[in-house]
Amino acid sequence: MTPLRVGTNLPSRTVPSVSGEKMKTMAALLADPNRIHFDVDAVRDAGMGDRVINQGPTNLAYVMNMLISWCGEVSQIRSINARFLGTVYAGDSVIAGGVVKEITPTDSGSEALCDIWLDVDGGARVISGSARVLWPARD
Amino acid sequence: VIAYTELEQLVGRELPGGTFTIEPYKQWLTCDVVGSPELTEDVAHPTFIASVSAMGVTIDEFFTICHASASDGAVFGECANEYREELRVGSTYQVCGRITDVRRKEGQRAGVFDIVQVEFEISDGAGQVAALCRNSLVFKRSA
Repeated sequence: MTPLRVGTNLPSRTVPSVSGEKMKTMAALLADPNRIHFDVDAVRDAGMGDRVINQGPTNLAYVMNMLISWCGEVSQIRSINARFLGTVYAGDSVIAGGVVKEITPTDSGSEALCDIWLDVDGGARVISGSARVLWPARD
Repeated sequence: VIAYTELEQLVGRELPGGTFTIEPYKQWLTCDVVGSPELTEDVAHPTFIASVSAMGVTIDEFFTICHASASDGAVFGECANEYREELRVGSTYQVCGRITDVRRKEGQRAGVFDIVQVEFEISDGAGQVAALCRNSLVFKRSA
């Protein structure tokens, strides 16, 4: 396990190709009737392109996955703040990443304040934010 | 376009609220959709908070409250989630929420759009707050 230090880059996590089919499942799970997530004609009608558009919660979940992979347990994630800056389309490759900005000692270890993000590979940043993650003392 | 004075009246509006249970099949599907790493048994993926937020009122009903529809292309603006305890698969949670802020803005490209902020509390069976969620949704009102 890498020691926790300010400036440490969190191991990035890549989704090689965002699936339009999985957007349909997420639309059903969220009871989200917005057709831009499953009907490419609705995307075209809205002038938003010609591929279906991923749900914001799914994009944020890619960042959560990066944090879980890094810290090991969901329970260590204490908060996440995120701004949704752009659109992820079916077929895009996206990369979640982060960096430790601040470390605060706690009774049981440390709390890391991290900058977090999601980038379209070769494109724009689509999520920017911060997360607080507990980092237990390790022998 | 709805008058801003009418929209402002949404601030403070309590949403119906309700309960939800994280069913194992929904956990499985959620983890599959988002490509989750392996989680400790019975721990829900933290993105469940997003679907939780929709349970006090459906997304479609929320759009209607905000004088919009699904075809208007509403998008997430920001979210802030605070986790006080893990959400557990198979557990039932109480959700209560309210609209806490409304702002109208205008951009050269986007035209008029409204940002509606909604906050939710998710409480466990013992009545303890397990998570807090603050979302802002952006509603485009004109080209």
